[in-house]
Amino acid sequence: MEIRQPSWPVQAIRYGVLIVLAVIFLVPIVFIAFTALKSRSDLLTSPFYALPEKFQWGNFAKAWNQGKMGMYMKNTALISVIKVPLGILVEALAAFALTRLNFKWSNAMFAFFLIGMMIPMQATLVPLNIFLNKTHLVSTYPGIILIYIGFGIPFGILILRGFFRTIPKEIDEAALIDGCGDIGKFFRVILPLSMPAIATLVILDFMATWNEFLLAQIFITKDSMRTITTGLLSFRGEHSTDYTLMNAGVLLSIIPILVVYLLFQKYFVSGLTGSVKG
Amino acid sequence: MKKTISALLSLLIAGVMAAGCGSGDNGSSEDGQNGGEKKVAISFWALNTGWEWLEPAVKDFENANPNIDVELTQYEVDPIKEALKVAASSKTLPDMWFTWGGTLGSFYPENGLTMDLTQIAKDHRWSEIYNKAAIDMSTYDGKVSGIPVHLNVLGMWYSKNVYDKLKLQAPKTFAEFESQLAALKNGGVVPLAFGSKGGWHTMRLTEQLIEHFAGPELHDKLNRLEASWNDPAVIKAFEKIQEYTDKGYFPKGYSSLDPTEAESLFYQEQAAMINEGTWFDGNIMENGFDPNNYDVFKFPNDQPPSRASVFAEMFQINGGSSPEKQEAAVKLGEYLTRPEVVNKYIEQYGSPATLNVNISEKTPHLKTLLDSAGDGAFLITDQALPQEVVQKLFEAQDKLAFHEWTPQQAAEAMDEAIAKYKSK
Repeated sequence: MEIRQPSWPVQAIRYGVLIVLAVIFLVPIVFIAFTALKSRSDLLTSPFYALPEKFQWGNFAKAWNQGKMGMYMKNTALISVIKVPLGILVEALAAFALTRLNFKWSNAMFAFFLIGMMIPMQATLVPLNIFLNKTHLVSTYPGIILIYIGFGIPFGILILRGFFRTIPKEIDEAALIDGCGDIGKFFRVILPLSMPAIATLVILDFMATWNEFLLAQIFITKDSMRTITTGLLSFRGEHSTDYTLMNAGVLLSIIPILVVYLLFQKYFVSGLTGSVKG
Repeated sequence: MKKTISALLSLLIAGVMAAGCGSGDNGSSEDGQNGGEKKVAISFWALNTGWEWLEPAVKDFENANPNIDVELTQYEVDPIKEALKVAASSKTLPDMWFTWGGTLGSFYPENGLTMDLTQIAKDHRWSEIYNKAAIDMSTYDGKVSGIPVHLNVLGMWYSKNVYDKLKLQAPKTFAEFESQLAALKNGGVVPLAFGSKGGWHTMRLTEQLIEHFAGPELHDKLNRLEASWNDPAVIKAFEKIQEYTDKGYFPKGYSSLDPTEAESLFYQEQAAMINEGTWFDGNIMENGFDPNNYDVFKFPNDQPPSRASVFAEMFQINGGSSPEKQEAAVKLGEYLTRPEVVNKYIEQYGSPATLNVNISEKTPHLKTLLDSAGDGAFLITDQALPQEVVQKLFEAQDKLAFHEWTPQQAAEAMDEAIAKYKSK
């Protein structure tokens, strides 16, 4: 069958709209880059849209070393590489149980998990602080990772349960005939078939963990353990803000997110569409 | 396959545990023994950026007091407010913490969370060590509730270049100030580099206009919520805000302008004056300019005494900590504010509440401003009023600028907000 190409005016409008959208999305990033490359006096004496008088590439080194962005990124990466796979594993196991183990209250339990998405994070700060203090987990990585996993569970289950339901039950039966138990079915059949949903979750979960601010600012009190979002605030003093280094830090901080997105993006859309079909 | 899964799970669990171990100790504040002498560990929360002097000063203190361990945690501005609120609600406040004065700092003594330092202040002769205004700002219901660390005084900073070009000199009366606003505007310069995003930049002018029209006594009563804000003096002050907006004395779109953007107009000499405080020499330097090109005057509010707007910062001590920890915390707080320590770190220290210190030449306007509070001072409005009333004032300022409210309506709205606050 021949695929009909749209006429040139349609193509022109389509590309025109895409170009305008791309410009709208890129403009803030360009201004962040301009700010990151200016000196403080240049920033304060020239319009924000002006090119830097002299390109201050050293701002990136300053943000990395003096602003300790390197250390904050390392801390955030450590939390993310533990939290994201561990969280997804827990969520996938729960979604598997909800869709494959056929127990009586599975739908009610699913609804119960979803309640977690409706609780405002701010309302949990005081009880979480009491819990972490009593368990001596304040300002420890296990403490913050546990909380992050907890907050990630409802959304993860929502996505994965939806996707698991699209996998035909016949495949389970085939696995059973081949001698798979529930564990084998989960790891050998369901998980490999769910790569698009898992890749989607990896991207979303990584972004959420990388950018999380509220909990990190309360529960990580040691500078040596701070994450990137709370670390960026160190460019802001009581009476002034160093916007040049802060913007350099912001640019550095988005690199890992871009890398993760580029690595997993080919699964992204199919993961999301699959998850809402069920 | 099962082996692979087990290995993966073990790796993850080991990773979590290793991360936990890597976090070091949990800031335990348990007492230990050191050479027979009982060791006291105290936790101390303070600000971070701009307080680079604190960590070495605390280390000096620990060296001088080997029986005291200080677990210092430094936060940025908003995080420390949030962390203190959460800690107060969950009864996990540290042994000593930094806080601002006014309604931000009063929360802790009002809720019985701080140590009463009145007797210590008397015994240790704080009146000879700290600026009286700073002690007053750290006192609630007659009880000294904090060790004063900073006293910030506000003034109207101006660009000498702009003033020289227009042959102007610092105004001495309110009428002179107003005629200069017109002269600057006619000279093609925005008179007031104010960015009212957040509200507090314009508030610093509003409060001086209230001081001018109401006088010190009524202004204090208004701040203590003992007088109605629906008062002719307040209405006149609000009329001025609207008038200055209409005459273009503020930058275009100042209601949504960030104070930093307003500051940039000041450096570009597109605007002449900015209402900032004792920290501003430092800002000018950090931004790559020379403080000697700028000067500052006390707002000419025509009142005897001519009072400056001030705010204090202090260290409060946990009322629930053990007597040993409280004693150690007092010792630390007094150490960090003693003249030798302030002098050692004066270039980073900010605006000390401590008397008899050597002011650095790098901050040429600090002494002028500190001295300007000598005639009298009032507490800055956003610390004097309850926070919900402050928010109503910010809203009133914006609505006056947009002519959504008349000055009369703004004054009535303030009264309503105060009545609502009092009825709680």
